[in-house]
Amino acid sequence: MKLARVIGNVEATVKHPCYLSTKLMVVQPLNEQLQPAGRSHPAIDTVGAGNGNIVLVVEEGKAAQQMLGQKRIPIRTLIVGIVDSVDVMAREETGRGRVA
Amino acid sequence: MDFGRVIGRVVCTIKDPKLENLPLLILQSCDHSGEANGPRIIAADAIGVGVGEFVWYETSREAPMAWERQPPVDAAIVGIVDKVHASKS
Repeated sequence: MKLARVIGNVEATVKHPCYLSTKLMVVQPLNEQLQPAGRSHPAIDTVGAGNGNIVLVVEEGKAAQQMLGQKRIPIRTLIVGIVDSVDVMAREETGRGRVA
Repeated sequence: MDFGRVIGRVVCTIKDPKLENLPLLILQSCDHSGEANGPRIIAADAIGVGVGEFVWYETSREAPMAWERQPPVDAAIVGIVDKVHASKS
């Protein structure tokens, strides 16, 4: 699982039938300091996340199949939670502590 | 799941029978704005896309599940992006 920020959504007409009743968002992966880390990518929303929310993203097919209640679907990236706060141990070299 | 731009095609004559009639396309991985900053990969097309189109694809164990016959592929194109509504990240 990883932290990400929802930065938008995707509009699509032509898609695999498995995606027909799904909500496809764009997420930007974050590090534990909540700074962007890596490339933005699409993810299916199952929790009602909105633009700007920090969310928990899973990238695993079995988890996606259980969440969506379907077997054998080409989906492995899902938003499964909305993050309220993140606490990380203070790093001595930066002196930064709690990030919420 | 990742965004990608279709930049070419691959043709194979000799291949696994399960790959018959499966278009193989070259994809440049992108972020949501279409900026190319990822690897280039070969992906099988599950929906019928053309060169130049902006798509999203799924990789790994879930890629073959886009088809009933479960062909031996590790990336499947599963949707064409019409528009991305995004705020600045």
